[in-house]
Formats: sequence, C-alpha cells, structure tokens
Amino acid sequence: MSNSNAHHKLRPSKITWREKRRRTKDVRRKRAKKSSSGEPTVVSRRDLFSKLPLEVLSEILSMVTTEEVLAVARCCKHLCHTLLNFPYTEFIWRRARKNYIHNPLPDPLPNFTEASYASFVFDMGNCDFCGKEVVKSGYTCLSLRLRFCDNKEKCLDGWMESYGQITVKIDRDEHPYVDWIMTSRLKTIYGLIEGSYGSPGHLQSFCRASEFKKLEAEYQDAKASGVTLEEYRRMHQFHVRKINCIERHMWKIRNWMSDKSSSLAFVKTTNSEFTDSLARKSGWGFIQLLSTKTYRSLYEKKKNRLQLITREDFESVQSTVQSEIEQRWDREERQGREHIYSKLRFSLDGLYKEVCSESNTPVPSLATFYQLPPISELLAFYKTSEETDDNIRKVMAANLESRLKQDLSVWLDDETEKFLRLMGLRKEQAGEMGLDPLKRVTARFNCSNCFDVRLKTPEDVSLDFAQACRHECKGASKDLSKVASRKFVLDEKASRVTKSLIRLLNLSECDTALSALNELKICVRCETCSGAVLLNLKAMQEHCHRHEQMKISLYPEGLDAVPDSHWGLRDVLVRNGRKGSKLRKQRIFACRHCQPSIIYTHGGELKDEVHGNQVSVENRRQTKTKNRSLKVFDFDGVQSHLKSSHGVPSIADEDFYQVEH
Amino acid sequence: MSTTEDKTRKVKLVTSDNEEFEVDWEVATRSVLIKHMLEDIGESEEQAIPLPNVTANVLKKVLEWCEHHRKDPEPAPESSDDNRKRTLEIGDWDAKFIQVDQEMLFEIILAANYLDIKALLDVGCKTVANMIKGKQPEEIRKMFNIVNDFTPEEEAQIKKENEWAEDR
Repeated sequence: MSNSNAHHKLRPSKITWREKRRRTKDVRRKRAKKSSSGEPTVVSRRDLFSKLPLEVLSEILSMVTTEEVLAVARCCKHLCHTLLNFPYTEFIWRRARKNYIHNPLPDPLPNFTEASYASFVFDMGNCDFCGKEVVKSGYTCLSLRLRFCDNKEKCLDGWMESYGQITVKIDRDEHPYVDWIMTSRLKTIYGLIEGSYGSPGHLQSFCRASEFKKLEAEYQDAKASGVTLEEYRRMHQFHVRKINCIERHMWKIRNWMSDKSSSLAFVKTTNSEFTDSLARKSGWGFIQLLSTKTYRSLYEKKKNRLQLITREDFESVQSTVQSEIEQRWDREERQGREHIYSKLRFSLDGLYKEVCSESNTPVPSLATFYQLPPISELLAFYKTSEETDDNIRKVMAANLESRLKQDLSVWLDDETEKFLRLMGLRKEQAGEMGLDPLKRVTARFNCSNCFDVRLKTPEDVSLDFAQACRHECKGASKDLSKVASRKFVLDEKASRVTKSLIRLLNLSECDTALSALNELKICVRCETCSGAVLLNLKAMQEHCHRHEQMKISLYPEGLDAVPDSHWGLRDVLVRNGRKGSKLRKQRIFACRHCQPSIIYTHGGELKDEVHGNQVSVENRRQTKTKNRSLKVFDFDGVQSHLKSSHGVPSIADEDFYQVEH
Repeated sequence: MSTTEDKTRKVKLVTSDNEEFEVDWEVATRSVLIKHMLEDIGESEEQAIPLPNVTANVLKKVLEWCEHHRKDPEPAPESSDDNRKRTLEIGDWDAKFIQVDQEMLFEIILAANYLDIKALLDVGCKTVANMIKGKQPEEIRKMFNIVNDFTPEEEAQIKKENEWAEDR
C-alpha cells in the first residue's frame, strides 16, 4: 500500500491528461467569456487597423486627442510613416488638438511640425538626473526640456549642482547674454522645493551651465575684439525676442497642462463622490460599485471625456449594475462557503491521518471514512448550510470523536464479516479458531475491479485484510458520492503459494500470522521463472500472479545472502525524485532472469551452478565481460528488456539488480 | 427629392460573392453611391447594381442598419470647419448594432466608406475611436493585433522628441 501511495504522490509533478484537459477547458472558457462580452474588442487574427485607407483613418483620428494620435503613430512603421512624414496628414494632428474637452491645445510655434509638437508636449522619457523612467507624460520643465522623476527634490538638486546655473542675481551688465539664454523658473517646477534657492515665493530662474559658459566665452571674445556692450546687445536683439516668444509659449502650454490636470482632478473627485453616494444609497460598497463592468466603463468613459456622471447616466445602467453586483455577491458567498468546506475537508483529512496512525485495528479508506455517518452528515451540513460560523463546527465536532469510534467499530465488524465470508467462514466460527483467520498469512485478497489495471503497474495486487480495508480502486473518482464500489475476491494464487511456503517451512497455516512470517526474513526462489529470481514473502505474493502455477524452493541462505538485493529500489527509480531520475540514466542494472547459472552463497559470493566455480564480488565486473548474462542496462533499458525477452509486464524488485553502487 | 413612386420601388444589389439582395429604394438610397448609380441608370428596374467591394454578410449587416435608419433625415452637407469638436456618443440602437467582432467592424467601416453612408461610417469610426481612447501604443497594438516592426533602437530613437523636431 505504501508503494502505491508513493506512486500517487509523484503524479502531480507530471502533466496528466486530466490536467491538460482542464487547462484546455480553462482557455476555451476564457475565450468564450471574452467573446460573450459583446464588445468589439476581441483580438482579430488580422491587423485590419493599419490597413485602413487614409480617409477612414483620419475620420477615426478626428475624434480623438493628440495623445491618442501620437500613440497610434507609435504602433508600427507604417502608421508612423503615414502620420509623420506626409505633410497632408498635418490636419489630423491639428484637429486632434481641438478635441480636448476643457480647452484646445495651444498652437505650436512655427519651428515645430504638428507631430514634433505633440511629441514635445506629451512624450514620456527618463529622468534627466538619475535616468529612471518617468511615467508622467510631458516635460517637468518645458523650456529647458528637463524631466525629473518622483524623487523630485533630490534629482533637481543633483541636476542643479552638476549641470545648472542660477541666473537670478547675475549682473546683466557683466553678463548681458543672460537676456537671451533659455531659462526656467524653479517655482514653476515644484511648489515643494520653492525657496531652496532663495527666499520662499521668489521665482528662481536657472539655465543649463553649459549654455551659460558657451555664451560667456562668446561674449568675452566679442569684448576682446572691441565690441561694446551696447553693440553686443543690439546684435542679439533677435535672440531676445525669440526667447521671449518661446517663454510666452511655454507658459501657455504649462497653463493648458495645469488646466487639464485640474479639470481631470475635479472630474475624478466629483465622480468618485457621486459614485460613493450612489453606492451608499443602494446599500453597496464604493469598490463594489466601481468594480462592476458596466459602471466601471461608464466611469472611465466620463473621466476620459472630462464629464460628470449624472443620475440619468446611472439610471440608464442601474438594472445591469444591480444584477452584476448580485452576481458578485452570489459568487463571493459561494466562494466563502467553498472556503469553509475545503477547510473542513482539510481538518477531516488530518483527523483521518490521526485515526490511521493511532489505530491498531484496520481502518477504512479515506473515501469510506468520509461516508461514515458523522463525517458525511457534517460535510452535507456544510455543503448546504448558509451558516459560515466556525462555532457550528465546534458544536458538531464536540461529540464527533465518540460517534466516530462507535461507527468505526460497526464498520470493522461489517468488513470482518464480509471478508470472512469470502474465506468461506462465519464470524461465530472464526471466534472459535485460535488465530483470527483474517490475520493468517494465507488470507490474501484482491480487488477484481482494478486487478487488471494494477497488474500492469507497480501497484500491489495481493492485499491482506488491513490493506484491503484501506484499498481504493485505482482511478476512482475523487467525488465522495461516487466512490467506486470495491469488489474483493480471495487471492487464490497468493494463498496457494503461501500455503506451499508454509509446507516447506513445516508450519501450520492456522497458527501462522503474517507478522510472524515476515520476521523470519525467509527467501524463496521462483522455480517457474527461468532465472535466479529470489523473492521475499511480499514479493512472492505479488510475483505469483505472473504464473498459473508458481513453484518455489526455499533458499536456505536467507535474504542477507543476496548482496545486490535492494527491496524498494524500483520505487526509488519510478519516483521522479532527484535521486531516482539520476539513477535511471546510469547503465548499472542487470536482469536476474538472464542469470540461470548463478546463485548466491553466504558472504556475497557467486557460485556458478554448472561449473562450480567461485566468483568473488570484486571480480564480478571481469566476469561480466565473459558472461553474457551480466549485460548492463539503464533502468528504462532493463524494463524494455524484461518486457521483450521475459514477458514481464511490470518490473519488480526481484527482476533486476544494481551492479554498481 | 424622392417621389411616392420611388418609395415603392425595389432595387437589386449584387455583392462580390454574387449574392443578390432586393431592397426598398428608400433603404438602398441611404448609400450615396447607390443613389447616384440609380440616378445614372434611370428607370431600368431590372438592372442589378454590382457592389464588387462588399461581401454578402457585410451587405446584410449594412442593409440592417439602412433599414433601421430609412426614415432618418438626409445628412447635412459636410462642414469644412476644423475647429468643431467631435462627440463620441453613439445612439443605443447603433451601439448594439455595432457590437460585432473586430473583423466585421472594420468590414462595415470599409463598406460604409465605399457605399458613402456617412452616418454608418460615423458610428464605426466612433466605435474604433472609443477603443483607442486613453490607450498607450502597446495597448493599441495588442487590441488591433498590430505587429511592432520597430527595432529596439528605432523605438528608442522615436522616443526622443528631437527626432521629429528640428525646433528651437
């Protein structure tokens, strides 16, 4: 039984066909859910958008704002080329600037193309000091084209120290070029750092130090060549006008941006407050209402259009929202019940494990355990109950243990009677016998429901009474209501071979308990198999199902005389653990069926039966090259070899051994 | 101006996959293209109008829209005013009508453009515009299955605003 449990445990690591089917279903369900939403947002296989004729594309883009046109232009080379490189698409950008709800975006300066202007106003980029990506669109400081991340103060201070130049208190006669240098003002950047470079409330102009130095050098050169201050100023009158014009324009853009963000903030706050009041009036939570698909879409739509949600807007979607919220409540309630139910299942699994470890008598399988009256009643109550209070569980669990004890004993009586009947005995008769017939070593059973399936797998087929009680049919449904009905029959083959072993040992069947025989550590040889197949008691009772009439002989040296015997090696190898998978690939396994001439003697020496030669274990590798039977395989190879050459359907420990350790 | 006789007249339309539709004159003339063609062919009732750019399933959908809007007034002549703000509101019936898969949506837009049905084109374009609204390039690509054919270098380059502007 332990073998089969171990085998079950390794299943989850593989993707079973059930898992595959479940995943496929999930994907289908998700796709169906998407398509049933009714929105035309289902991803089409073909890209039809970028193949739209320009007149249709322009019609679509005439309804969106500059930011969205910019986003479309950034999608692929074709759209980028269409919207940027052709002067006749300028009208799209122009129109998009007018589509802002609060105010149209100011016209660009003549040196900008429409597209470059959009890029200038809305593009995102990295912080000019620390290089971190800034998610907020647009420049922090438009005129100097500077972007700073959320770590405002630190990055601005750092930038000022490394690349900045304060221009406020500079003497204009000493440095006349300050009048036509591109500057920005600290107060316009962050209210937070106001005053860091002067008294609070005072605008602190600054420029790029590199530009300042360049103009300073230029001025020094001019001065050296005899140009007077007046002449120099006159020479740069155009630059002064240009800088003033640019600065005025930057102010316009800055004001437009601040209008936009304050309008957005106003709409967001007002709509959130309205949503909150709606939710409270209807007895819902704010998040609950906002997370419904219909209301969320209304909320987002209104936010994008900078519109306030009205009562009429809400009334038009109220019934849909109501049903969505009710569905959500139902789902949450169901999930809550399922959670409690699964918690209960978990604690009952723990209780079952306790029962298994504490009990000296046979225990039922988990599925049967769940069908015992106190457990099934508890589960049924939790499955249907609206009540989710843990107190109920405490109340119900109070007398659970005593009831369970009683029911387990009733169950054991029933099972004992059933299995005795299989052996042709009645309960009263069994009481008169010395050793309980079900504890005899010959009391072997198999489940006819899953016998054929198990025979092809490493699962045990021959079960004693305790194992049979805990048996669950292979592949049985996990649904407790559909526990597969087990059909037990007497395991004739195992009983017969065990009887012959008892005869060989000169023991009496009626007095020999399984535990007593296990302690003897007896070793038998299968005379029906062609090779030197040596078996312990458990292996013998499994092995006998390979033959119609299994003949055995006692191997007097005992199990300890077989140096390569590794009971449990098969289980290690079939498990996908690290040790098992590493071992599987090594060519260190040999077939016992291919060694008809070799038997083992005490001390781990091999004796050639035919020639009587003694072969030491150390020299076995040399013998291997001479002896055909010592051909070594990896584990998969030895399995294939056993199947094809010896007709062994499922490998067992007695069929192979490990040549090297 | 349509006469009473016109209103009872039937018009035959043949799609690119050779399917023939017989519709009321009033429904067919929601399309400016068909209207002009009918004016060109005159009284010849039997003559079917070929529509080589429209398939049967798309025309069926377009005619469903035309049938519903058959009594609508003629659209006002297009204004050349660039300053007008376009609203993205769509009527309830139109919103339900346009709840189709993306492929059909674009087919309807192309058909409306070809057949010159301004109001239907408007509904389609508003739907697509609503889909684009507030989205980033990556979201738009994902939604319309647009392949990003920019190399990482090109993408980095186009993010630099100066690539597009010689400004200053």
